[in-house]
Amino acid sequence: MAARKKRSIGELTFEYLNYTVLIFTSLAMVYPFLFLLSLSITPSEFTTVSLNLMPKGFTWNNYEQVFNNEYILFGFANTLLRTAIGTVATLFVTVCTAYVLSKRYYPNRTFWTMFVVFTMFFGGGLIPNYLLVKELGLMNTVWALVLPGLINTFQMIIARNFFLSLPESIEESARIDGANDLRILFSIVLPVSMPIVATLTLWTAVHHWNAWFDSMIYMQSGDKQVLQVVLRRIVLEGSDTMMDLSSDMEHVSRESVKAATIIVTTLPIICFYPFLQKHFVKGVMIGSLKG
Amino acid sequence: MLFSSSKRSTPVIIAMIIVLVLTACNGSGSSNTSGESAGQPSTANSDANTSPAETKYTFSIAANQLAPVDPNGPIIQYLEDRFNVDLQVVDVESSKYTEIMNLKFASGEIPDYFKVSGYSNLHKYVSQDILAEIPLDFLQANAPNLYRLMVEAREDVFNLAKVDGKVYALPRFSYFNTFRRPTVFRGDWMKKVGVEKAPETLEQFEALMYKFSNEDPDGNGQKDTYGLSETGIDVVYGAFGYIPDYWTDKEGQLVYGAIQPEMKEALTILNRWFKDKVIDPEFITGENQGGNKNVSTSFVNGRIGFSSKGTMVQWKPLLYEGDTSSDTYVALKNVNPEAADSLVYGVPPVGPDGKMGVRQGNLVTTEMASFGKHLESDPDKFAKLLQMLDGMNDSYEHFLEYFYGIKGEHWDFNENNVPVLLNDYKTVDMNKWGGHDVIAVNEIPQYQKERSGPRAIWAEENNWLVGGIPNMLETALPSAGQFTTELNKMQEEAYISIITGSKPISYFDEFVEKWRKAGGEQLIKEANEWYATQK
Repeated sequence: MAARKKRSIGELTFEYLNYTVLIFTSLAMVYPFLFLLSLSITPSEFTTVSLNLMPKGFTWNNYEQVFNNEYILFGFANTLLRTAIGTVATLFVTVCTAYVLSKRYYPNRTFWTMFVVFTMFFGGGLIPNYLLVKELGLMNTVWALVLPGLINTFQMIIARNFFLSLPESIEESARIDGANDLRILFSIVLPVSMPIVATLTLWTAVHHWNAWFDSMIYMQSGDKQVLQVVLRRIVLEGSDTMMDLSSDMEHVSRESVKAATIIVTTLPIICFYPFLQKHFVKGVMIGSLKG
Repeated sequence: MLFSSSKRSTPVIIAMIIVLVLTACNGSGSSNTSGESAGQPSTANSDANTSPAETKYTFSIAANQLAPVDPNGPIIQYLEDRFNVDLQVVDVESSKYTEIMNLKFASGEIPDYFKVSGYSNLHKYVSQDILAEIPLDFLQANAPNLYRLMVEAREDVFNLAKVDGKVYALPRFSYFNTFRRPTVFRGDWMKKVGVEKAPETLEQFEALMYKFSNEDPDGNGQKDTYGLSETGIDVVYGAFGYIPDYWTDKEGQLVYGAIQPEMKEALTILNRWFKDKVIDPEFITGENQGGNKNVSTSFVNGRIGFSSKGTMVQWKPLLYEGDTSSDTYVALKNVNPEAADSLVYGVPPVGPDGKMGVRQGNLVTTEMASFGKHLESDPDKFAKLLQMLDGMNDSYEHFLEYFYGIKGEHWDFNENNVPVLLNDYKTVDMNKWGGHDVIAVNEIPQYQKERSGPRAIWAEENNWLVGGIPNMLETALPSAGQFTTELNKMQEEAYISIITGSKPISYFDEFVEKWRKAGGEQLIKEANEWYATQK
């Protein structure tokens, strides 16, 4: 008969304290978003901003202002395109690189790893990168946004460490059956590596979704700019840089419009998270190895 | 196991080295393409005297825009047709303009005509050989009206764009900058404490501020009001003749406001006011707590009774149907309509030595327009571009067309003769058509005054042209980059600690010594060297 484990006072106290701290921390993190949400549906006459949650009025005006911008649809399309292509390409290349570098029998493995890590510390800078992209003829195409940052060295090392943690026995069993390296990677290792794939996908997708600076310098036509650039323009529409000459500007972008912009930007990505959640949580090696 | 390490890696390493060597040799050759895309003059133009009537030049123009410019926008079309040119506007995100232009210059894409922001960038670009010299007689020959109007507005305007004695840019004007900063009082509070007129001397001003903070002008029985806050402090400095951050002419020499001995008296007064709770204790964090940066929320919320925040445009009442801006006025009206309609627009109070003033901007701004270096070797194209600019600015009517669009279709005059956009068009739309300041970068102050109609008239009537102290240093000093951050920090610390009383008044002399030694002396020397060239 199994006895119910008695919990000491210490354990109980810790548990209560733990929950309390975590609940407060999560509230502190959720609060800014709730605040922005309520601010984004407030009419913009209320220029003085207080920090309470209940909106003082209700209007869709701010969202209208955001979506009325003709470049918004282009922005969404460009961002989706870039995120889709960028994530798939990065995933593919990173997984291949990490897998190879994790194999102990790969010749000169240390040298290649150092070679790659070196790039994490030293980079060319803004102007050489700009010249490079320009000379390669990538200007004004989506490849200028996808190719330069195709492999993130840090992510690749994380992936490599993950592959290192997989037992060699599943591979050997496949090899005995006659599979070559590619087959092993895609049929055996990858299905088991869903946590790392989910992580990489998330990191890359979020990076591409949020990126604006590269789009700003490499894209020359207005309809190829990504969403973030368009939104940034909306928010800065009445900012100080214009103030000296055009003292007759009709409006300065109000706090509520800025809040609406932020919600439009973050909501899609937040919705993306739950779909990947299950891949993080599920146990990896359950049922694959006996003994 | 399966691979033997030594045999396979050698050829790989050799291959890598070969690839590296090849790319290194190839890369540096092709990147040096100076001059912009397209636009080759026909070969018939080899001698300078042929008028290029048959040649259609293409000009590439970069300025910071609010929205991407439509290449077939109505104003662009109009310009192209009228002057027989092709225009290519380079889309540059406005808030990162200088950074992106630096990238373009580094990769050799220099437009024909572009905006330059700030004197230090002007010097930088000249030293990098990016800008074309603009000989003044060449300018006068090809753009006579523009030249004449600019010189009429300010005689020595081209001196400001000179580097090593040569002119490299066309400066921009801002008529609105000549209105000084605000001096606005709560008129309803003044009535409540029994003061009829706006104060004219510093003593009267002080008395009024004390009344504002002690005599409960908002009538709610609590001592929660103050006289002034961060921006209002300026009038005290001005009453002694200097603004701390500005350089002023004193007996022919440029002196820096913050270290003048008169400031010691100003600081003594401010320290007394702070101790007596006449100055808002939170003045250090400024008067704006969110929302539009130029609005004084302390004033709108009834915390202080006097402010100098923002510019004339935020404080003016709505002068006509469809008038815009007036942000502070509107904010106050939402909270307290009577207060908004009883605002008193005073003048800066006069100090014991007969001086007075608050900050004022300069007529010539630090934004300029320059031409790409390659135009120096193509005088015909340069001339044509200047002629086009001249044609855009030679009369008020022309200017309005290139700025606002087609009369009757995009804009028209309202009853006050102010050009207003029709059909709910906004400034962003003007950008898209190619108007606003995308190309028409050289607005004459006279035109600015005319098109603001009632606003300019109201401002002049309410004495906004009286009592401004401008910054006489209109250039970037060579050592500024080295010293200013430290010096400014030192100055701010010294001033705030003396006002709040954490340091005694005698600390002021110590501060002046420190300021001079930490590079201030060098700055004074350079400022006066520059000033001598302007005489």
